[in-house]
Amino acid sequence: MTRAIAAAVAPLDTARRMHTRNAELEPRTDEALMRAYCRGDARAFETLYARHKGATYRYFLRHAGSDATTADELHQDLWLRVIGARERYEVQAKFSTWLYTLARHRLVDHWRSRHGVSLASLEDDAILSQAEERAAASRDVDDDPLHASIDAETRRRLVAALADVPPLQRDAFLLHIEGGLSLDEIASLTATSGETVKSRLRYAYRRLRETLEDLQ
Amino acid sequence: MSNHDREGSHPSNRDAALERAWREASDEQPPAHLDAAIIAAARKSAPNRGEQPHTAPVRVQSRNWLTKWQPLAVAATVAGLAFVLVQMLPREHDLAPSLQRQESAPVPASAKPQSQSPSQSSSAREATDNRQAPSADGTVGLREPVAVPEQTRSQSEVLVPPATPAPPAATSKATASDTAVAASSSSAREKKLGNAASLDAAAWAAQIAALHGSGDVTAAEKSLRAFRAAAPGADAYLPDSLRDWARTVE
Repeated sequence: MTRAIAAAVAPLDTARRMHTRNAELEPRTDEALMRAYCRGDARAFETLYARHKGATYRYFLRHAGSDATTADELHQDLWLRVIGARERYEVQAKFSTWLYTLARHRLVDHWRSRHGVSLASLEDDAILSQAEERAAASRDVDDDPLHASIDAETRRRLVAALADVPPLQRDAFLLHIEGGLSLDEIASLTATSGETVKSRLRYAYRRLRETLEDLQ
Repeated sequence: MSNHDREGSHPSNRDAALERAWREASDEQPPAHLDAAIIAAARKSAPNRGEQPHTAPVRVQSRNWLTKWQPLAVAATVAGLAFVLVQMLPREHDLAPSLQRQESAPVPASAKPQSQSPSQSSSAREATDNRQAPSADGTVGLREPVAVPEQTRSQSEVLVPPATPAPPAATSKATASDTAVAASSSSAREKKLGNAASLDAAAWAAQIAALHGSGDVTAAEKSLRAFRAAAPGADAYLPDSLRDWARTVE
């Protein structure tokens, strides 16, 4: 039974890997691909989607506490919005900035509808300050366990650690590490200052680093 | 202070290691059915103009359409041809029943021969009109010819130009053997006279002369009477040698 499932899934995984490789080999920028899709080239969209689908999916998955159902719903809604914006898309910023702006708006809508709260109301400066102090006290530059390859338990603990990070810090971390956005782009996207973004990122990095250090 | 504080937006080696560890820990991908749904929605939204792989299905679709409708088109063509043939054939076959109906139908009273009636010519016209009038089933000129008095028929036939060449004037100079043959078949010649619808007055006079010359005086007299009935000035067409004989015929 397991072998049958593996045999059935193997070609699909192979096709997905080839698609991802084609997306990596595509010389056109994201903006050029989106413009091509606006002109009716569906293959350009496929390349664009292959480039960003994993990152956007994980962006939602981490914010949803690894709830795959919610992540599926948010991910699909995001890309359907991209498809729906095909006729009115204009290159005013990087495609990834525009894409994660849409993603973040969708996430805020989701939190409002499910929990009646917004991302901004979840920020707790007290938690942030305490975490910074704890991280500064335990900093050990010479002994860095992150250079070693991580095992399954480490991966699980990392994901769980990020789930414990406050939403705004988590959001900044995910926009940076999954979306590949710079500090300035995150600041522009979240309508905050660069210093605020830097502070949020610092908190998230410290929290994850603590998790890895505790495993040693 | 963190590495971000020291190096701005550029992560330190420790942050780079953390990012690498994170990427190893977080590599989830959306499920395949979600990918398929999104790609399908994108393809549906974009017509994919100018893309070769998407023009092929259109050709396949048109070929399928042709394959699908070709037998039906052929069948419709055959059925149409058969219908036209069927529509043409009954018209020929309907002739016989039409004639049979006309034969069984009684002859109209106006078409009955009234040889002694003063309205002979009108009866003939009615008969002629009746012959050419459309029948009840729409056929024209297909009715059986009604009986027309010989005199009336002859009168109408005078006005018809001869369809066959008139007997030459030399007929009166026929040889003796020809005369004998003609005498032996006088009855046949009478029938010929009756059927000679296309003879004009001169030819009729020439025939009377031939009958008289052959010695068949009775037939000549009968023909002369019919000639007179058809043409009031019939005696004027006769040759001079027959004028005296014609005065004896009443």
